[in-house]
Amino acid sequence: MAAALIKLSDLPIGSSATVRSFPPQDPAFIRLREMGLLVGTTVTLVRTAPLGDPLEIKLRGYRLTLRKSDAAHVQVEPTP
Amino acid sequence: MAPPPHLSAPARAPTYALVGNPNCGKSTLFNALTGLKQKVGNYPGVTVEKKIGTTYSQHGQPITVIDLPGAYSLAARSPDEAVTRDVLLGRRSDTPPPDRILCIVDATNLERNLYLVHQILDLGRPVILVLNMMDLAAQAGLNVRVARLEKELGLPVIPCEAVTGKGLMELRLTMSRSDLPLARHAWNVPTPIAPAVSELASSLVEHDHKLPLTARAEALLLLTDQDSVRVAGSSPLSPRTTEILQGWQQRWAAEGTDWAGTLVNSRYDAIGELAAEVVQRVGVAGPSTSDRIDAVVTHPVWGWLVLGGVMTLLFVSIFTLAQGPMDWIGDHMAMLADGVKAQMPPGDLRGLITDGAIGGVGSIVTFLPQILILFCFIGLLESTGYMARAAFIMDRLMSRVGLNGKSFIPLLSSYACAIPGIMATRTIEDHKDRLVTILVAPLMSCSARLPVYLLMIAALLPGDLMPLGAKVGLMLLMYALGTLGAFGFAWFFKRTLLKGAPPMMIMELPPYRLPGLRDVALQMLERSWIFLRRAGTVILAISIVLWFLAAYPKAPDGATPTQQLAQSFAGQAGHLIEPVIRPLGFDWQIGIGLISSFAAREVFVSTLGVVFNAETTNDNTAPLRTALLAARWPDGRRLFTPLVCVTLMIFYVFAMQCMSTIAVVKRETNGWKWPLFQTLYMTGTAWILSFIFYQAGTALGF
Amino acid sequence: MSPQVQTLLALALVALAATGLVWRAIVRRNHPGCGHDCSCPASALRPPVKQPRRP
Repeated sequence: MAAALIKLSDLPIGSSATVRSFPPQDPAFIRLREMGLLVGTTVTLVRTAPLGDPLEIKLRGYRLTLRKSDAAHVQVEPTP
Repeated sequence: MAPPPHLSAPARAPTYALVGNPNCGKSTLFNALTGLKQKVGNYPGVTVEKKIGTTYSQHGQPITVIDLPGAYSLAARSPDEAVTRDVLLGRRSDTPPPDRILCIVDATNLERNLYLVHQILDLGRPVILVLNMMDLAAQAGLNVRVARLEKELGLPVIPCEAVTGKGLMELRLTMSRSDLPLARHAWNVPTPIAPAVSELASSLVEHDHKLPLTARAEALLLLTDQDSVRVAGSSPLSPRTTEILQGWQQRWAAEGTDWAGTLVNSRYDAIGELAAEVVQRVGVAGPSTSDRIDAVVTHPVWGWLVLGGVMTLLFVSIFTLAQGPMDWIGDHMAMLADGVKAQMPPGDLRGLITDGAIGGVGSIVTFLPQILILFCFIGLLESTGYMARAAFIMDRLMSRVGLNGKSFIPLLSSYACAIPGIMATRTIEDHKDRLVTILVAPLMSCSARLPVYLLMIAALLPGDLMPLGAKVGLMLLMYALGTLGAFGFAWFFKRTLLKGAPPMMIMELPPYRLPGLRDVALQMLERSWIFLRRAGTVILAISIVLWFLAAYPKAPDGATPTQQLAQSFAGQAGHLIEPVIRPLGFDWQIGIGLISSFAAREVFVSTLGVVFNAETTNDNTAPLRTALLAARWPDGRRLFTPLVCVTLMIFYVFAMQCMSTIAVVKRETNGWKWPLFQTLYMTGTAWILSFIFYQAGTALGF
Repeated sequence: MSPQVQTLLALALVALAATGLVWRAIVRRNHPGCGHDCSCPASALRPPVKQPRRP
């Protein structure tokens, strides 16, 4: 666990990371987890929308979009 | 755990519910099984209400199939997911709980799809798992070991391609089986939570009259979602159950146990083990076609150009491609009217047929080609997967307004018709956001406004003096005006009436699919059928009644047709509202059209057809456009000046004139309050903006 | 066809059309929703089954 944690929203485009922490018991984030974004899941930031927000991430073989402000609550560890 | 025998072999033909994630092909499979033509599309929110159909077993026995809206989880977060949850849990008074469940999963994305399946296995009903899109999974380099999955879950697994119908035979065969095994559901509720689940389940049976079969599932739902009232349906939980729930939650909060997260994690752990066994990755797939398309479509520069290009192409083809068929229909309608005039002596019946029926219906039917082109474009956008991209691109703008990108999909659908748009708002999680979207959706120019815009643009200048670019530009302007209006009012409502924090936006971007040309063609066919049927029934009846209102009471002999119309019932009504619309540059004849178009917007065109046909005395039926250009104020000024035409278009952009929409809004908001408010604010805005535009235009000398 | 007969027939058709419209309105009232106008689902979203509450 030496690698530094960053916010999912700060991940550079095209790079992958592993989710490390999640805000507990927030109903909106429960849905994100139900869609498979869990601690330990590998995500790839595919792109941002033309206006810079929201983000398109790839996880478990599908694509999901979420806003930067929400992604900022998810801590990830970038994959070297 | 041995199932009670009556569960696996129901005496009557079993009822199946079709359940799965959004966009996994439920409705396509439903259509293939039942032969129905339920609308399909590649975006979430196509199906927002259950739909019941019948399929036949291999012995010809009817089997009832219920198509349900897509859901990611039984812990519903939006009204469409709640429909699915409530049908499965037997909470709907109009639908008996299904005996068996057909779970459809997208083979390209097994893990997330299995989450819902995992929850459904808790329901204790026999399940058939349908692995859809096996071809796409193979393309993506995934090998799904069906036999292994079947063995691990202990239930029938049918690989299938719903689009081509591959695997349907096997599915039908399995559905006809009188005995179906219950899944070996090996999942154990995590230790810190297990006692709470059993305690809640027994309390739910005892105090909330839940079925013992589904009580465990209900208990798990209570723990997955914080909002227990919403999960419990309309009736609140009994005090005892609430007490137990709160007791546990407080205890966990003190201990630092993330109970909902633990539950989700534990399910995904089980799924992850399963997926590792079942899915083999053969070969590495490079960037997919979807990726390459997205690189252009969601590009900061190209993305906007594509969006603008598609819109421009749409309107250019509406003006160019449709012109020929439109003229053909118009000519034949005129020939028909002239034929009747040649065969019959003058009289009331002849007037009713030529001026009323043919004048009214004919003027509307000429717009069929344009409607078809519009629906062809919308159908292509819906079936390829562009809708979700549009929401993705627009989310930033929508967030400025206080809504999220998900609201943009219902708004886009409203370009076709506000009704499916308003239905699609059921995918919106937040109640206030949903209401705001419903309130502004009818501002998006729907297909019924198209005939009005086209007629007004045609009447702007005599002959074909208008360059194509100006026509297209004016049309784009009207659509832009409606869209801006929708955004503006959404912003206003979010800040005043329906304040709320901007909601979280979580949306799946489905991969692009080749447009189902058959689906698009079917939808166009269905749309033209609806359009023609409407023209042949409601609009025909309205035109006939309108003809009567314009022809009676009869003026004394020797009156001109205009004098006759002026003193008729319709003319009197028009004169009655003239003081209100005079400041907008409209006279009483336009007033007749405005009144009648409160039934539906396109009735304006058929009304003008009746009104201005009745005013021509000669035996040659002139196109409506020519009649409009000839219309005059009593002092001889032209009635349809370019300024008046544009003012009328602006009025139609904003005014709420659609009984069907009002009825749907009433149903979706459970009362008259919001539809009435909507009608008032929209029509009020229409009047004020038309007034400003007309008065400013007059002052500037137009 | 004499003008009188034409008038009679025309008025009969008007009455038929008006009855049709009124009948439609009544049917709508009894079956709220939007019919099949814009290919929307016909069945209404009804509230879930009310479960009896304990006193």
